[in-house]
Amino acid sequence: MTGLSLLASFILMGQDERPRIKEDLANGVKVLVSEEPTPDRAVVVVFASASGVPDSPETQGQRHLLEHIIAKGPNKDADRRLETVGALLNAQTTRAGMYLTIEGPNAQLPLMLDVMKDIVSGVTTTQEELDRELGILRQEQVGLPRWWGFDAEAWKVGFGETAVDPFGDLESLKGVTPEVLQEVFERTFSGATVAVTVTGDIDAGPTMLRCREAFAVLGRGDAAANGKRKVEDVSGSKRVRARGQSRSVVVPGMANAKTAATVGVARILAGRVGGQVLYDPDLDPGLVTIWTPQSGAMAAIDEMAPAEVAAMRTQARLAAHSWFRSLAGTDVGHARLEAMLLQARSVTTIEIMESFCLGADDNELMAAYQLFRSGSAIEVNGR
Amino acid sequence: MSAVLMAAIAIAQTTPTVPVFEKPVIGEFNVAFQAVVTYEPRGREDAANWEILGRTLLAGTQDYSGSEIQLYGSQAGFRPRVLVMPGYLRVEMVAPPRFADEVAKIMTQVLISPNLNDLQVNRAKESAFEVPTDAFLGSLRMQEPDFEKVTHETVQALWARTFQPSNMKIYVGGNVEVGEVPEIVRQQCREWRPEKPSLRFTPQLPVDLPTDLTGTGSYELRGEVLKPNSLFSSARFLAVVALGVGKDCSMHRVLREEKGWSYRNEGILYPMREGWVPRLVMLRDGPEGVELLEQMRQALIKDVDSWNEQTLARAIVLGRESLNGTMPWSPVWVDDQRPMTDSLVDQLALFGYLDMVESADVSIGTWVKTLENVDLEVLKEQAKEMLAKASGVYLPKS
Repeated sequence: MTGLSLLASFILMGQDERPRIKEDLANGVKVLVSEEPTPDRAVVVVFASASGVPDSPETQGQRHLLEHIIAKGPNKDADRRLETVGALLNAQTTRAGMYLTIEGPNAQLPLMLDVMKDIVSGVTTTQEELDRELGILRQEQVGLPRWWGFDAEAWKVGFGETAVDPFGDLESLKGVTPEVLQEVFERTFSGATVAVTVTGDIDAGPTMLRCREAFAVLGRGDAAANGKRKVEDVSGSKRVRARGQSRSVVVPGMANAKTAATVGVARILAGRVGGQVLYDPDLDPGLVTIWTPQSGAMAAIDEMAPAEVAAMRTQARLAAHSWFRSLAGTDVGHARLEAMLLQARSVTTIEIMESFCLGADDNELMAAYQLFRSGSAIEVNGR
Repeated sequence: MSAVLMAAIAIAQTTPTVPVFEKPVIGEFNVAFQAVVTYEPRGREDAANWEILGRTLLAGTQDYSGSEIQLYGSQAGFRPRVLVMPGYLRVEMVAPPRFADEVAKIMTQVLISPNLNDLQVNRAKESAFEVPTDAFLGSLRMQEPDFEKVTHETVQALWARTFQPSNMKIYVGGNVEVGEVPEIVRQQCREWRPEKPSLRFTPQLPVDLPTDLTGTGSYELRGEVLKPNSLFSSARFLAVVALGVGKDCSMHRVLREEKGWSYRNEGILYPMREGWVPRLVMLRDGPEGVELLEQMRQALIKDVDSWNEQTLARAIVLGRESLNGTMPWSPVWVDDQRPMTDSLVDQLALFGYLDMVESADVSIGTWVKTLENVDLEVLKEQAKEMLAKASGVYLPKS
């Protein structure tokens, strides 16, 4: 290792002494390699923060379209190369960023890193492919879950009309050319925006060497001026042409205990109204939404007796913990969260986030309940 | 022999109980309980009563309220649930060891003395009318029950007719103390006097296909039942993988990338009463109608001709991981919501499912080994036969 690399690398030994190596590459990409006891498996996650191409009415959906194209690989053979050896590639675009995840047999880690390197090397596409992909996006759109429109409208109430849905607007995407997409790629995938985690039944040292080589392809990029969403207790209502109801509360992000408390309370309340909870993990402020297909069901939240509300606290903590375990309890989920934390250089750890759940403060829990009541929450009502 | 002793023996021999099958798993902390009851609904109203019966079972029993069932049954972090399928239902609970005895009692009472009252049945009816949230899951519905005439009397009558010793089994797996649960079940069943099943013949009425309620149409090629001890089961299983699993499968390459017809296409093995049904499902909102089904079939048959040794190798690798429960996109389902995993609950469900479909003689481990013996020509032949013989099911967008 060079002296510079030694300075930039930190070998961390956890309580159970499994090696973890954290390093900033020369181009700014942040990499974490950790050995985990998942026999014969490995996971590679590349997280590209949305800060490179913040969602706006002008850019709406461009990151999502980019994800569709680059996930095939430059020679459109990424999936064939991986699946033939039992590895799988998954790509997902959220408000926080884009996740590219490859999981598979640890013996295939060199191939997995090779494919990931090819994917993040650039965009190879034609106008014909983009036009065809728009048709596929339209089919994806009609298959979206029923709660999608409710959540999208709630975001606009909570954070303004520019808080657009990262899925995209198909009309505005018609103007995207290969050149536009190349620019979106360069702003999305750079040292300023990308973090990589590699975990599993691996050797940390040699794996970090491979990562240095693989992710050196990215440009340095410029850190974008991040228009952080404001955290305010916002209320308001909208109506949509769909069946159901939702109530949403603004939360500060995963690094704040209030978010875990709100999710826990939301899960208990969702059980009462026959609904489900929507929350996309993000370090930035966002929304926790309860959605139910049953019109009028939300009244059950307002009708809870004080004794019922007080009794809910312990269950809410357990519910928050159960939610967090479902998020971070798998090797893939854990690696994704690590990547998000790494990119933001957050001092919060996954262990701290988990402690927010069972240690949720009574006052925070009660405050969260009050915010979900009618008149305090963002309400979106269906016809 | 005394008359009293003879009477006691006669009672012991005729006292009904629910058979219990135990599957200890070394290293598991929790105990999983599953009860399977088989019944083929006859017609839409019968299907509705079956659905509501399943949704009401956990509302309470002779000795336990619904809240108590949820409380005891949630201590391991899993909520008790009932899976209702056309042909069977499965009650699932998981308990840490200190609550295992209590949950064993609850499970038995759920079967032999559920509290199927008017309030609970009406609540279940309300939720049964819900439109599926997920378009793909919505497209998998096999029938359209008619809930209008369901009452607590009709549900109780169905329970009395179908929850018979001959139709029910309890499976318990994980941190099992062998012999304990069967004894608890026997004790709980001491006072149980199930109604004698009616010998009257009830004809099977046609059950309408569901209408689509999710806002997108679906096109499905539905194959013939498959289970590990079926003829050519390995090749047919690999055919489903090659056709419909992952992003290098035929459906993704042809129906999505080449034709641009659809975003979501998937091949799954859906757990029906007689065995797994191969279902190749494509979601599409478009101007075409049912004629697209035949185009879909022909496009896939044509793609089979292009399969090579890499296709076979890929299918074997993914197929093996699917059967082991370690692949997130596994086509193997033991549930109506998601693929099978290697969790205690899913592996117990698999154990019970193979028993129900009478294929327990071929273990999953053996089936996995036989995948290596499939050669390319047999794979292609079985894939084409599956596609050629598949029923086409089209659910137009509503």
